[in-house]
Amino acid sequence: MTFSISEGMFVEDFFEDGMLHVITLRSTVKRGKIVSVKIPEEIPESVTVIGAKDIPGNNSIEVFGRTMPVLASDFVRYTGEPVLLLAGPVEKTLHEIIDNIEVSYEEETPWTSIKNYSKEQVAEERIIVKGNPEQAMVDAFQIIEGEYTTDTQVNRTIDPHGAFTLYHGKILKVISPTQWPFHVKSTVAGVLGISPRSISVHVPEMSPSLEGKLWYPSLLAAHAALISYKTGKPAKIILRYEENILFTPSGASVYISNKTGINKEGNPVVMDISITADTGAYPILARELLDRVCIASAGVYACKNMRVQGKIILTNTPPAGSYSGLGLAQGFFSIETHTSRISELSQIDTYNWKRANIIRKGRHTVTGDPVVTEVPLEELLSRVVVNSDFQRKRAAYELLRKRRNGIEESPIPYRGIGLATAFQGNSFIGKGEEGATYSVRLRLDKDGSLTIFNSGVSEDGKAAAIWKNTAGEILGIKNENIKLEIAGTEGIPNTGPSTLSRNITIIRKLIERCSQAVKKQRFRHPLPIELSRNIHLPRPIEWKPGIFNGKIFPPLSWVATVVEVEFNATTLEVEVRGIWLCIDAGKILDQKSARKRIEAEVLYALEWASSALEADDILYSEKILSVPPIYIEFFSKSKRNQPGGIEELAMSSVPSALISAISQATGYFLDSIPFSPQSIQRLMEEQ
Amino acid sequence: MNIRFTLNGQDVLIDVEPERRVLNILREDFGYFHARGTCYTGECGACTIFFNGEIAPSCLIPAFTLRESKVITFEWFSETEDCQDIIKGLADAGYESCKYCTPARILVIHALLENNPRPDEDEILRALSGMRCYCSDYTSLIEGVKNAGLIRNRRR
Repeated sequence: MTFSISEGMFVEDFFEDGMLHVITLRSTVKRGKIVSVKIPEEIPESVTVIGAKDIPGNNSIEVFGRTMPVLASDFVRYTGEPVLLLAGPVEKTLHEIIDNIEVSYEEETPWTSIKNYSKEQVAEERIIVKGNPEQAMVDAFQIIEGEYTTDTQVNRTIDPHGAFTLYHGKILKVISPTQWPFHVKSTVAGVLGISPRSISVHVPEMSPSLEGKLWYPSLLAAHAALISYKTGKPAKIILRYEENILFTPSGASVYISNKTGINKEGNPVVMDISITADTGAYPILARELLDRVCIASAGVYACKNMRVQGKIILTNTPPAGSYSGLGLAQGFFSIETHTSRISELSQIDTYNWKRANIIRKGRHTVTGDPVVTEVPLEELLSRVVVNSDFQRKRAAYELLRKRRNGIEESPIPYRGIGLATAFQGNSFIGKGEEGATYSVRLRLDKDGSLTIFNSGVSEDGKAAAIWKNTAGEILGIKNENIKLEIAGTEGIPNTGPSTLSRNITIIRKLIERCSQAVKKQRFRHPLPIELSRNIHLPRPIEWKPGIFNGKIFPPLSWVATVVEVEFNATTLEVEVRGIWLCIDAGKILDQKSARKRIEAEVLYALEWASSALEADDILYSEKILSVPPIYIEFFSKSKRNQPGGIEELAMSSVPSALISAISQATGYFLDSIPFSPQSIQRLMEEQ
Repeated sequence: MNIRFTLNGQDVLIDVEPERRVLNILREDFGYFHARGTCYTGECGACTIFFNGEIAPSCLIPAFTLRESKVITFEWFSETEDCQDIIKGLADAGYESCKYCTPARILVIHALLENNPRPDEDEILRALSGMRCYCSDYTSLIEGVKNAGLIRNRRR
């Protein structure tokens, strides 16, 4: 066996003699019972067909207690759901055979709406009540209502989803581009009904996945593994482009209504927030998503009376994935757009309104958590406002807008500027990981080289560089003498999923602790020294009616963001003139890398807010021609020594600031993303 | 169908189905993995090669058009001084290359610099707009291409 995994190999690059290609027969209906499957009798011997009944172990993939089938057995819940696997040496032959397989369905009316839903569709519910919202709403001076919709974040990663499996002796090797190698391992073991010890997972090269490779790669690994298990041969499944776009997880779409009562001064005294989120046919990660949307939808503002109701609604679409923010971005879009609207209707400058109402030390968050440390938002807001000249521009553009008579030909450009804030935490907050222990191991060898063992996946290499620097600085070892073992599960401790900034906030911290432990033993014990350090995750938060206990997201990272736009009154197109972000994320380990990461996230946020499914080509063919200037300032008032996450701050703040800017430029209030010239046209006709 | 063509400077003779994609021939028959298949519609740019001296999406080229043609892949181009100029220019700018798209990007940059040794920002972005990748380090990429042009001009 010549199998080896080397640097630069993506999953599609793996070939082995006797390898079988695997393709998927997918459901052609949104919802229905599988009545019959007719496979042609004249299938070549070299072709293997596997259905749900052929699965030797569990026909399920599980994430934090929620499951979905590996192959549909008797019922399908979305178009594209895998029903059968076909494997053979020639892919073209498989496609010819699949065209002749007849599957008949007894179709049922699909669930499509998250606004008009039945009880059956509700997968998860939350309610938070703080103070006395009913009475406060009656007593309010004015009530301002808004409805906010965020569409799905589409999977557009350039390298396709896939998996490659082969036996190496009695060990089943699984090559899987995943953010969570140990999840692949446990899933494949469960599906095959074998011991996890006989499975070894390796992570090949991956391009930036935007959190789209958290759990879905485990499904494809299970598909390839089923073929290898049945045939004993290497098997490779690579999804085609249209399969990647249409059937792999996208970010959840969310609808939020916010009814806010304000006092005479325009400050909020009560908020009644209602959330429905679409996680598709199977509510994988639904609990986590709902918790995060609920928290973010209340924003960063002090309000004594509050009711937040959240529901996860099942629809007959592909299950939703993780994606940036995992709910925070959707929640912040609604509250930040809503508060900009409140300030406008109250005739208070947006900056002054937000600054006056942000939560401060000594108060309680929507979760009942006491704020015990200084919240840096006031400082961040004032800095970003100065950096962008926000107040002068906002006032000037407002004056120009009021002088215009709707949208008309004008020699003076239509401009607008918007402001938004957000925070992010790190790691998961919901149930699922309770009691989990994750660890990192270091080995200092006789030749002075250091090897880091952890299952974390550094997709773009930035996290890996930080891990090496952290260990190198503590132990005084040059980077070229530090080796990072290829991510996977073979001889590597479980470090959990590489998502939600955990590579920095958990893995880097473990490497730091482990390096300090090695440093203590160095020169006292003979080499090699091999040590590991563990982290026990805290108990999960618990939702109770009216009370939400527990400290969420320690430590928090904060951002204040300004976006300025120019609107073309003839083509209804929007050009972003500049984006300013002021960020407090504690200690920034590598300023250059952090800036690049945030710049990339800003572009993803713009794409999510402005194109999505309506204009597939914008990011790649047009937006690239107008990459806006992005100004980033890192500022930490607390001087805290530990780094916080930065990866979701742009996604949570840029869309709302952008929409507020467009609303000012056009004079029409936008409340949904994505926007497009067509959606602005519709708004003009409606309003 | 027997087809003779020049691949990376070598005369080769292959027996293939005429409609087979050149991308698949390069990857599966010759092991040239730097041309990558994502969309198979010519949109993503990951499968870029030089076909008779012009950049082209190899996923859209059928095998029968290979007859008497000249194909150059990144594997061959990476050995040239022109490629080293580009790699140095990008590295000097701090461009953090993405292993998926960078080989194709480098071929596109080479084609751009051959036609326009001193491209401005718009020309660079326009030339690279056919590449679909989320790596997005545009600021360094633009600076890197300008660097590469200067390095190449000095060397030549």
